[in-house]
Order: sequence, then C-alpha cells, then structure tokens
Amino acid sequence: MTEHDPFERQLRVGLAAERAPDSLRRRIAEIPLEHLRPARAAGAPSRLFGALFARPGVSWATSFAAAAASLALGVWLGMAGLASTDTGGGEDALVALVFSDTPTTIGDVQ
Amino acid sequence: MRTDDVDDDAQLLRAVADGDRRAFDRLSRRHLDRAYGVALRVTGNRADAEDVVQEVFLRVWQRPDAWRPGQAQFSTWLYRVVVNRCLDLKRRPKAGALDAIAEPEDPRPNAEMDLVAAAKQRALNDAVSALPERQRAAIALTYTAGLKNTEAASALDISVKALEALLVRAKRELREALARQGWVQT
Repeated sequence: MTEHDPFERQLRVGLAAERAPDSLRRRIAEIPLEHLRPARAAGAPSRLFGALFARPGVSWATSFAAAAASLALGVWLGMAGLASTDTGGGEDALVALVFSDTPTTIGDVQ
Repeated sequence: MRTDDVDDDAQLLRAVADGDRRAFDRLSRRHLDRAYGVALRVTGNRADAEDVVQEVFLRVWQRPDAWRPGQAQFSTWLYRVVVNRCLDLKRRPKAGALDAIAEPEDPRPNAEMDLVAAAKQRALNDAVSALPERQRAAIALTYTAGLKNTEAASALDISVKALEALLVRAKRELREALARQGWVQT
C-alpha cells in the first residue's frame, strides 16, 4: 500500500489528530501554576561563576579559554620573576628610571 | 533563553528543568493535539484520554530529566509514555464512547454529503476501536501522531518488523470492517 492508495489516504485523513479540547488545554496550562517547583538550587561557587560568566554570548569554551590564558600568563610572569638575577635592585632601577637625577641608594648620599 | 525562538525540544526541556513556564507552555502546545489524538484512539474515551495526557504533561513538568537526549526523540518518548499509560488503564471503550470521537470538520456545504462523510468517519472510528490494543496503538502512532515506522516501533518498544506486522493486520481488519458496510471496496 502506498500513499496513493485511496484506502491509505482515507486512513490518513480520517485518523488525523483533532484539536485537543479547550478544557484540556487549560488543565495543561495550569500545571506549572498548580505544581510550583523551585528553580534548581545552585551552590555559592556556581552562583558566583554564573554571575561572572553567564552573560549572553559568552560560551563556556570562551570563558574556559580566557581563564586558561590568564592562568598561563600568571605562571609565566611568576616564573620569570623567580628566574630573575636581579637581587634587590629592582626598586632602585625603577626610581632611577623615573627620577634620573635622584640618588637611588642611601650610599650615594654623602 | 528566549523560548519564543526555540524550535528544539531538547532546549525547551532544559528550560523546563530550570522552571521556565513559557518553555513548558510552548512544548505542551507543540505536542498536545497529537498526544491527545493518540490517547483518544488508544483509550477510545475522551475522559480517559484527557486524564492520561494531563498526567503525562504533569510528569514532563515535574520530571523533565525523565527524557534523556540521545536515546530517542522527545516526541517518540512522549508518545511511548502516553501509549503505555493508556494500555495500563486496561479499560475497554465504554458504551457510547465510540461516538465521542468527533468527525473532522468537512468544509463542503452540502448537508447530504456531510451526513455521508460523518457516517463514514463513524464507521472508521468504530472499526479502529474494535481493533486489539496493540494494533490500535500502532495505527494511532502512525496515522494520528504521524510517526515514521522506526519511531512508532521505538515508542511501542518493538522491532520495526513487528510494527509492520501489526499495521498490516490492523489495516486488513479496518478494510474488511469498512468493506462490510460498503465504505471501501475489497
């Protein structure tokens, strides 16, 4: 039997779904009102994370990539600081750079 | 999420899980007519069909996680729950229930033709109601819900071959029943 078969066509027309009664529509529409359900509870960490990243257009992947990049940068800066051979003259160098005519160590003051 | 723009059942279900009433409303409006149509065909009774459909949508609201994406389409799962609930009722159609299934509206103005179409529709309703439950469910899922054979088989939790066998037997019985009353030729 194919869809061109008159009997098949008769079944499709005769057995098609009719519109559900309005009384049932109302009963279904009232389900959320009659059966109140609290939104899923979220813990404090997830609420904080949600507040930070759950903006429209910011996907989880984007948020995760940004967090990973920040972490990598922090680690790199930290490692660079640890590997520095500057043993204490950092502040002096900064002062000398900004105030070129100011003595940068107590020893320079006679 | 703007649920007005969502066409995907899975997205709507996620919103329903978050308590979004508009998503539930949209989801129920999308599936209500066919779910009711299937329930009406399988139970043969309006009151039972309404109760079953309300119960099933209440379950969707309270337990949206009962449907798991990836197993079957939401609609297939929904009709499976509807059919199972109808079969659980284990009630035969009550006396007079067959007339409770309304005939589809016929736009033809001719009153005589209306009567003929109504009588033909009533004969079809009676013939469907006289089918065994499983055949009735197979017919309802295929012709009322408009599911493909694979989906209807999944909804009934049987193989496609088993569904096709049910449909062949059901259509043979329908054709014979309608032919006895002169509505179709054998």
